[in-house]
Amino acid sequence: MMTECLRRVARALAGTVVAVLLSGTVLASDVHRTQLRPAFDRDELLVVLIIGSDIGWPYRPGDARNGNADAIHLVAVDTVARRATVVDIPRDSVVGGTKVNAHLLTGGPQRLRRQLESFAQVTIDHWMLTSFRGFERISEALGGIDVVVDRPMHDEASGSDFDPGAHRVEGKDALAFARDRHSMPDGDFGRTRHQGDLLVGAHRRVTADGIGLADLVDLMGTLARHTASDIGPTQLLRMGLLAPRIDPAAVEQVSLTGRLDTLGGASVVRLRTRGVFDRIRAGDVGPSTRPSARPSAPAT
Amino acid sequence: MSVPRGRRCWKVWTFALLVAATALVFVFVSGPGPGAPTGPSAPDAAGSPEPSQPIRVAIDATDVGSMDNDPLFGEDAEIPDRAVDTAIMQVEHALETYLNAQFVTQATRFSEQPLDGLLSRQASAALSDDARAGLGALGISVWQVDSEPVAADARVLTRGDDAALVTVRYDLRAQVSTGDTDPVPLHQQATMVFVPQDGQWRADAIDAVLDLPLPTGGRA
Repeated sequence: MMTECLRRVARALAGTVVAVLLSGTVLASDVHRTQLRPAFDRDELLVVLIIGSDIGWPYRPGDARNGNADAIHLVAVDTVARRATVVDIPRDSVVGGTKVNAHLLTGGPQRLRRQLESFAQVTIDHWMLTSFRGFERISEALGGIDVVVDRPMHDEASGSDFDPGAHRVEGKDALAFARDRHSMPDGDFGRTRHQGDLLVGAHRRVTADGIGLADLVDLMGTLARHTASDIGPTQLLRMGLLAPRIDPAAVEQVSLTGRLDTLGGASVVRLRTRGVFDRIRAGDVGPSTRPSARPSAPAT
Repeated sequence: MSVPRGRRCWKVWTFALLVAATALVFVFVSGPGPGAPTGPSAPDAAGSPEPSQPIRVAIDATDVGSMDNDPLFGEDAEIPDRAVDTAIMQVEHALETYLNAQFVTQATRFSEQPLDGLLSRQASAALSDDARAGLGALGISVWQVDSEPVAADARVLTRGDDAALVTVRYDLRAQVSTGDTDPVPLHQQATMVFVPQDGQWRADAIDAVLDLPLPTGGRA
């Protein structure tokens, strides 16, 4: 009985002493968090041409800037609204009187940019180009890219070996996914769409939780090492820091298709642009809020 | 003779309250106990804040890489070691200048002014009130700040013959005296990406957390 009484008193006493002590020095938890990201010098629309060259060490040694463009994509970003449109352009599309991919071979990235600007009537701010190996390394630095394989892809030429379903691809697998057109019923249209899937998937990876500021800078370092571009280090940093702040739901992928034709005996594509360049020119990027005006995303 | 339960408990209560009162008197009279941070004595009405010791910063370059695209051509990029050393030294100076102005120097501490010397133009343009607080611009008045030296690590990316980006991570731990109470702990943990701008290294992107549990109702 006495012991119980002592316990009650001790508990009350301890509580009293603590309360009185704290009343003299009540500490208010005060945590301030800062996530400061630089503003863009260029507001609103930023358009970057992404090029995948078929030349480059070690697969096909040579200067990647003077190969054929196997992958051609325009990424248009509203840096203020944080929305983006990725336009996938088939390599056989007729642009400037010839296949668009040949402009890289004949005049490098600058010529390809000029020709696309003229065709789309859209100002392209920067270009960035990589090789097969460069793309492998970038996908590895991302820790893989999530893609959905909608049909069996088993192709000796590209090295693809995927069953239908969700896959996280990196290195040679990512490259094979980007290159395989034989497994696709729509051939090069499907391959071009897959390349766009990889771009959108890469963006999704950098929006994942747990990627810190230092990780993003490291990633930009890897990107710089494995690409050629006209983007300076600081501008690349700012682009890299913007990317995670764009919600994947605010990114639209438009895979262009067109009518098959021949030009000088070669198979070509007469593009159907479906108004996508008009929209970009008007600064209207990202998923449309007006379904009737939205370009069809998937190729057929 | 047995004592009734209620009366026995009453005695214990009386004794306990006497002990508590004695203990509290002792606590208030003696001040901080052994091992507690030794703060300055509270300022009188005419007093002014005491000078604090400068914060020393040492940066260790833990990782150095290149942004040159030599790997695209199957080659390894060379690292300009001298440029890296120079950049580390200059960033160290920039960080030390900021930390001292932000937390130590009486005229500027906890104000917005030190941020002008820290941030790039683009980072300044993106600065919000919330971001200012995490960087120490709390708009408070304190009596003294005692900091441990700051040991930071840095990752450097080079481009050509120059350093291009320096990412610094550090923890600042200090004791802040408001004058009314015992010193309270300040902890700032930050990652800052420095870029060269107009011949100086400026922070272009920052993740920071500042924890400063201030006494309620105090001078701060």
